[in-house]
Order: sequence, then structure tokens, then C-alpha cells
Amino acid sequence: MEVIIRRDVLTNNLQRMQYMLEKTSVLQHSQNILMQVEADQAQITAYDVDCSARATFPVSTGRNGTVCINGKKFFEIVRSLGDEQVTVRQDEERNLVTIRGSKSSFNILCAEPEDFPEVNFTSPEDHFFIQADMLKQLIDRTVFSIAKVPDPRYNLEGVFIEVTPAGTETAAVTASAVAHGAENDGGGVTHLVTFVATDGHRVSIARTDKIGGRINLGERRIFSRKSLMEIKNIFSDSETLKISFSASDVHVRGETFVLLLRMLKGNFPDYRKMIPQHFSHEIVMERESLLQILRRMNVLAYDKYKGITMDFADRRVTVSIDNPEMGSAREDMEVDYTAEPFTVAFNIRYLLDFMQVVGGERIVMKVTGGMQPCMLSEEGSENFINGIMPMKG
Amino acid sequence: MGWIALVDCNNFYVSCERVFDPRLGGRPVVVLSNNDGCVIARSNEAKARGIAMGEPWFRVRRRFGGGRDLVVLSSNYALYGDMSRRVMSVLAGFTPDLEIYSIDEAFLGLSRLDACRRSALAREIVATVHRWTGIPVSVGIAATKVLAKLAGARAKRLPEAGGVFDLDAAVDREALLAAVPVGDVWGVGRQTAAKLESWGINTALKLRDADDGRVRRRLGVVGQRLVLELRGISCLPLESCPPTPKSICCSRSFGAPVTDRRELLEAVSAYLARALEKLRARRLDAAAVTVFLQSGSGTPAERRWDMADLPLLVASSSTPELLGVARRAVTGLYRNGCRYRKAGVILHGLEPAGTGQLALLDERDREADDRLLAAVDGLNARMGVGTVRFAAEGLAQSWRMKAERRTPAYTTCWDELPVAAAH
Repeated sequence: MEVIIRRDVLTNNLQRMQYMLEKTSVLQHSQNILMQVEADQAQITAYDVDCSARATFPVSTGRNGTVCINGKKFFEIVRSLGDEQVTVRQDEERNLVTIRGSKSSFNILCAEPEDFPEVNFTSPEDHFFIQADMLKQLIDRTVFSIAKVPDPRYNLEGVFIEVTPAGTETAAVTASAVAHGAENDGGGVTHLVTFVATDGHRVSIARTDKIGGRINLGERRIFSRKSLMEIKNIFSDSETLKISFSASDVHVRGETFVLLLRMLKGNFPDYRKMIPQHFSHEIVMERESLLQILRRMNVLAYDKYKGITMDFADRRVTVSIDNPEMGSAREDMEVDYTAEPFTVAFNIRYLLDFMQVVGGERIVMKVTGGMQPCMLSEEGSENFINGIMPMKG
Repeated sequence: MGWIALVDCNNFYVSCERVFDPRLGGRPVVVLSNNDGCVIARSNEAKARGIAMGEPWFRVRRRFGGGRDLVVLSSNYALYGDMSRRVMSVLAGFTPDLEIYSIDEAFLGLSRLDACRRSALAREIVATVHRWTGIPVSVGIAATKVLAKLAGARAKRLPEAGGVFDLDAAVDREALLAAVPVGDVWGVGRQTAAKLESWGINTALKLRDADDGRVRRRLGVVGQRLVLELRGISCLPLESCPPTPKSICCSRSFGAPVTDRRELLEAVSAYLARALEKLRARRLDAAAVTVFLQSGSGTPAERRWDMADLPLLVASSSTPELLGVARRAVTGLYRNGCRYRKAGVILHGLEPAGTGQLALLDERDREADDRLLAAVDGLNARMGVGTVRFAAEGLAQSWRMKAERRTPAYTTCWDELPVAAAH
């Protein structure tokens, strides 16, 4: 194999794969990248337990072929060269890859390409389209609730993804779908894609109807935090992504990259039962003011004392924290609440995690006393809701 | 300048036994660990015969021709714990600055007393504790906790001084520090001692005079604190409020190897129930439980430990709830035909009760659990330990450890109160 590639193109594609390459090798090839060249096109592939990625880009071909090389070193070498173009040449006899700029030349040992795992990147037919920035927002709004410790009953160590019919409007990313040559489902039905994560103490539910495509309803899958974070690393915000499900994976296809995320096994709890339908109190609060108060209270919070108390009474909420080893703090804020006074305590981290990713000027807190789940959402929208169990006491 | 007194009960377990059986006075007495394994307390007479701390009982018995000359007792922790509480409550009458360091040791803050009044107060402490509880104590006084430990060790060896030694008033202070091996300094462990000795620092005096920069670089802030404490600069304040423990463990060796799953379950359930009782007494909840089983015997390398770590969705101190968790753990760990020698449970992630995080997926009626356990704990407190217990703990408890020489729980059980007769 011998190819000439634009250095910025190769650097950019290798860089996006760097997070996927394992520092400590779990699998034999999880540190390597497979580079295949054929007919003026190069494909580079990275493989890991949770996900695999492939990028396709043009090259000036001298000779077709395949090499398998350490991904981090390949990236560092290409990035370090000052030239516009780099030449990558395979020396089959000596099992070396030569990476050459105008003045520098590196000979790097390579692995056997035949040993690199085979990955089928052919996307299944059923799919939907979504803007990358929207998909990233869904991820940001849920990953923080993924459980850190295993639950013997459910698999809570990932984000649960579900596609369901929403209403009668047509899908909103139709233009993008058309750009990808995809068909709409023909029925004019809007579909909802819902992301859910829970650690048993809180649940984050983020959804959007801004999707389009040939959708197979009822897709319900769990994906790990690591694999979802790869979507954030690999795709740029402006891309339109084609998402399709196979029996065990989800394929995410962008302009250059296709990412294959492996599904986690296990059952996910019925998230609809986690948040009650009715609440006794509904309070609207200024998002930014509450966020600033929580950040100030958080100065006194740490692992052992992480609870804050919210006392609602007479158009005010008093937020307070009591850390017996440090001291205490309190702050008032005006709120739209005039009913019976009540008190509820929360883990401050849970509130901050929600407040830092929710949009809008005001948030709505729905609550029924200090022992029942509380629901938080942006005012006027329930596309992102967070159910939080209070703390005792 | 404030002063610190270390009050240390002399041969505490033996002294407790002697309070209720004066015939033991002047005789070589040893107390054995759980399951009558090793010597854990010795009277001065036993020490004089060369019986070492931690020596296995079977070896002592062989050396002393069956041990008939010795008084050998199984440990009686109910008695020792209660006697300790009595000693500590006497000490609390002398000063509010009291840190209970262990079952038989406490640090007292003596504020700004001069040497004469310090010694007088220390002698009064020794006399009062002995008169009110029957336990002999010695008192070491110094400017810091580390020096007070050294003074306390010296006080034990000076019965003619009434069991009191004031390091600051001593004329041979330098000589005393020079005579203390560095490994005997409080806070210097075996590895640190070896490291210090390799640098030529083999006594407390040399450690006191060690180069600050070198100590800081090699032993960190902990080592530097030790050096400053040896110089009389207090870096370790009294902890009058005991810190919340990080974990609570309850484990025991079995009287004979256990192979039956039901018996193993009973044992783990009983240890768990005991650990949870302690947890509730401290008003704490646990966020995780570890269950461990030990099989095999002989050297540590031949022993096998099986463990299961079980995080809880809601921090809890509920015995009915956690018995179910422990049952699942034992069922998972159990190996048919294996001879288990020891089992135990550790409660981790302790937090103040009633302040923890509630869970969305929790279906347990915790208020009912609380009511039940309040009743159980109340009955056991009034009527004696074990009056009410969970069926999972078993009735016969044939796996219980050996305690063939245990004296009665003289002060904590109505049925075992000492009887005085007058003729």
C-alpha cells in the first residue's frame, strides 16, 4: 500500500478516534487502527468492546492495501509533520509502515491486518435522522444519571433509548432525511426518540420529535456511557446523523464517520412508573438565580453532607445547607408559591446536574411532600424532565 | 500551656476479672482471644513467666505442662465493655476534655495546671478510679499526646510513684527518650520504624531531633506531626466527640469447621443482626454490606476468603431487609463440601440515620421496619441481649465459637449477677 493524503484530513479523522483507543489494552487491537485503501478512498477503523468507528475520506492512491498500526502513535506522528501532505507506505517484507513528510520519515512496526476484528458497518434498513447537536443534547441531559454501582435487578449502567409514535405531525428533519436519500414513513406520523437514565435515586428523561426516516417502532435499547460519549467526540454539531438499529447494535452514520455502538444486556425498569402523574405543589422558579444559589451552597457540601433543604412558604423559598463539620448557609429567593408551607431535602448534586443542562429562563418543580418523587422541568416544555427522590429527614 | 494525661488501665481484662474474683490476685492470669485462640491479656505474674502477648494458647499450654499453674480465662467482652464504660464515666468527672481512645485508654486535657497540681490530680485520678471501679490505672502526663503515651508507658513501670509519671517534671527526659526504641513511639508502625532505622534514627530522641525537611519529604505530613509532637508542640488535638466510624464489622471464628449451608446462613445472619444492632445504637445507616467467608486453615496463604460486596439502594439499618441481602450473598458464595472456619459482615458507607437518599425503585415499608426494630432493641436493652432475635439466626447455634472458660457477665445480665452471702 502506498498513498498520499492531505495531512489536515488525516489528522482530523485520527484525532476524533483517539478517545476510543484504549490506553490499557483490553483487547489485542483496541490500541490499533486499521487503514484500508482502495480506489482513491481510505477507510480507517478503530475497534473497542463498547463501540467501533470507521471514517472514509479521499486519498491520492499509489497502491491499494491494508495496514494495522498503533492509533495513538499514528496520530502523533501525522500531527507532528509540518507538511500539507503525508505519504503512508507499507513495507510488507519488513512488516513496517513508513509515514513520510517532505523532510521526516518514520518507520513504524505494524500488526497483522488479518487479526483485526471484522466489523460489519452495513446499516440496517430501519432508521431515523437526527441533527448531531440534538443527539448530543439528549446525551448531555441523561448521562449524568447513569448508575455508578450495579443494581442486581436492572441494568442501570447505561442510557435506555426508545422510539415511539408521538402524534400526527410530520417529522421535523425531513429536509435532512431527503438529503440522505431516505424515505419518510409515509404515514405522516411524528416519532419521539426518548433517552432515559436512572441510578435508582433519580431519573433523567430527554426526548425529541425532531427526527425523520423509516422508523421501526418499539426499539428499546441500553447503551453504555462510554459508547454514547463517542458520539460527542466523533461527530460535529452541524452533521445530520442517520441512526439505525440492528439486533445487537446501533449504527450512527454521519458525513465521514460511521459509529457502531454495542447494546448492553439486561432489563431497564419501566421509567413511566418512576414519576407520579399528580403532584400536590407546582412551583415556578428563576433558573439562573436558583443555579447561583445552589453553587454557593455547594461550597459547604461534600460527600458526607450533601443534602440541602428547601423551605417553601409565602412566595419565598429558603435554601439552606448544614454541615456539622464546617458550618451552615442559607439564602432566600422569591418564588411563585402561596399555598401551605412545606419542606423538602435534596442531594445538591442531583439538583445541580439538572440545572446545569436545562435551558429556558424558568424551571418548574412539581412535588408532593418530602418523601415522594419530585419532578423538575423547563417551564412550558416537558422534553426534558428529571425525577428526583428527596432525602430523608 | 495545656497538658495531656493518658490514663491507661493496667492489664485491663485481667483487672476486670480480678474485681469479681479476688482469688485471682497475685496469681498468673491470662485471658484468651475469641474462640480461645491466643493470649490477649496477662497479669504481671504471667508476664514474669515469659508468656508473650498474642502467643497461641496451645503453645502456652504445651510449655506450661497443660497450663494447670495458670489461671486461663476466655474473653468476656460484655464485662470488659461495661467496666470500661464505668472507668470512662469516672474520668469524665475530672474534665470535660476527654478522648476515649480505646477500651482501656483515654486522653484527658488538664488545662494550665502547674507541675505540683498536675501530679496531685493524677494521683487523685488513680485513687478514685481504683476505689470506684476496682480497676488499677496509671497516668502519664506530657505536653502532647505522643509524649503522654511515652509517659504512660513509663508510669506503668513505676508503681512506687503511685502509677503517675509527669514527663515535663522529669529531670532525665533526654535519657528517657534515648531509651525508647523508635518503633515504640505511638504512630510509628513496623514499616516506618524499619525505614527510620535504615536512616540511623533508632530512638525517640533521634526522631525528635531529625531534620524537618527530610522527615517531611520521606514521611509526609504525618511524620512531621510526630516529630513536632515529640518536641512538645501539639499537632494532634483531643477528639472529645468520637468521629463517626467508617465501618462496623462483626466476625467470629467457628467453634468447629462449618460445612452446612443452613448453619453458615445462621452464623452470618447472627453476625449481621449484631452489627446492625451496633449501627442502630449509634444512630447510623449503612449504604453497603460486605459478607465474607473464610475456609482453609494453616498459614495465611492456605486460607481462602470469599467475599461479596452488596451496595444498597437506600442506606439502611433494617435487620429484616439486610438479612435477605445477606442470604443472597451466602447462597452465592457457598461451596458445597467446603469447611468454613470463620464468617463475618462489614457495614460500610455509614451515614447519620434518617438523612440518606430515598430511592425511586424502593418498595419497602421502612416505617414498619423502624417500628419493629425499635421494639426489638427496646426489649433486648431491658431484658438482656438476645431476648428477642430473628429466626434466621437459629436457635441451637451449634457453630458458636468456643468460650469454655468464660466468667459470668457480672454486670450486664440479671441471671449472672454475683451473689454475696453472709453467714
